[in-house]
Amino acid sequence: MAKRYGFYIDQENCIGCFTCQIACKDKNDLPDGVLWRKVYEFSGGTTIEENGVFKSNVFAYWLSMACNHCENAKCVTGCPTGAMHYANDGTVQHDPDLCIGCQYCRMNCPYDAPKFMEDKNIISKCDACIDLREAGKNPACVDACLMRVLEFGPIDELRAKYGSNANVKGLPSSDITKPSLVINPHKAAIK
Amino acid sequence: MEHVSLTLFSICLQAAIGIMVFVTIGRLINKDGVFKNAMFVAAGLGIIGLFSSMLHLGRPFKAFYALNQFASSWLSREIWFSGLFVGLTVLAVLVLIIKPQNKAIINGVSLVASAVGLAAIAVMSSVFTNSSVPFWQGGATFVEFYAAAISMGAIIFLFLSIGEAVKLKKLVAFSVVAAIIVQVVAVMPNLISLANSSNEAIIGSLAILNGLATVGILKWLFILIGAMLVVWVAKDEISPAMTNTVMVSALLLFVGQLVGRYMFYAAMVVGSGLS
Repeated sequence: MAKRYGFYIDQENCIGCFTCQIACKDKNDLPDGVLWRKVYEFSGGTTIEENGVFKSNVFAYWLSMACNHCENAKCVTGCPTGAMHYANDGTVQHDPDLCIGCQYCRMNCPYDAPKFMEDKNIISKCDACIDLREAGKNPACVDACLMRVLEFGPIDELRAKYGSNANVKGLPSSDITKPSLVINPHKAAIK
Repeated sequence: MEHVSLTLFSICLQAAIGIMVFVTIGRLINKDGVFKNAMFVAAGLGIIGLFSSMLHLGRPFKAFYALNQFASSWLSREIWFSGLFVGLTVLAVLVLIIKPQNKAIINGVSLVASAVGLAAIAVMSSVFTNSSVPFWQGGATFVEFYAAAISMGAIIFLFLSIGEAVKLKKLVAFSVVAAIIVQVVAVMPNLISLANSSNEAIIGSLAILNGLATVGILKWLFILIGAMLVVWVAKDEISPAMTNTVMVSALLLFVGQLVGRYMFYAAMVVGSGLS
């Protein structure tokens, strides 16, 4: 079988600059309200006084999420028309000609990756910049990242390099859809 | 609009399935019974349901593409089973119009339509239990869908066939009450147990339902009063007053289940709650 491709996210070193989100939106010319890659912000903690000393465990971290091109993609198995399908590189692709806009993929994806395009009445989603990759380049989000915390490549190689963790706070268990995703978690996001 | 069309689709179709189940039973018990009105309404509700399902599509004119993935997609299977049920019900009605004396064929087609319809409800439930919406996962969805079909189907059948269905009055009352008891027993404890969940999606769904609390109270009021009226009807002789009571009961049960189904769809929050 051909290599399966996926993303690595170094969440620990992400500074939440949103450049990946904007690069994706710009490259794919997405309309208002539609984000194929979205950066989520998480924050919490408290500051307390103990014997005149202020102790703080305040934290903030970000999670950059797009389609995770899951091995057991529920959007693919659930799609009644075959519009959601696997490409030869294992990425999940969407055929707009087959899409009837039923939005069942939105009910199936635990990562909120498929987006409904109000202007076209169909779904759209991250295609991992298949056109750029065919030209030998990286997806737009990867090359735009200031901190170099995003990588795209064969998921086996990414797992060999960074481990196989795809579970952080804020995400569902990776057992559900087996996402092609590796995350180096922020310390406050470790499950 | 999305919730409204899905609500109309599932409620109309489930009511139609319930009616056909009781038409089939009625024709077996009362050999002289035709139950023409009930069959016509079942076919009509089925057709309305199928058309409603297309209203939530972005591209309704390509709806037939949804038949492509029977092997893998519950939604595709739902369209197949729903379409087959409506087709068979319409066929039964056509035979009834063209050759009303051919009871064997009408009974046979009605029986197959009912069986396909009951299977369709299981498939419809699976569309939601297999989704990534935690609130929809679990047995309560199956119970809600079957209880809606049986309760609405039974009482609408009785209302439309009041003269022919005298022998079935007690069976109808028993079916409605049993369906509602099972619905209450399955749904209420499930809601209470979900209230203790730490899953963000479930918390989101419950917050939506909390915002619709008045509607939720109306749902259960309508359903419970509707079911109580059926019990009252079951012990009375047929009279114009009883017909009116059956009509009110049918209306209350239909509206109660309709409102409840709207809440079911409105409570959709996917997966971990990312949005």
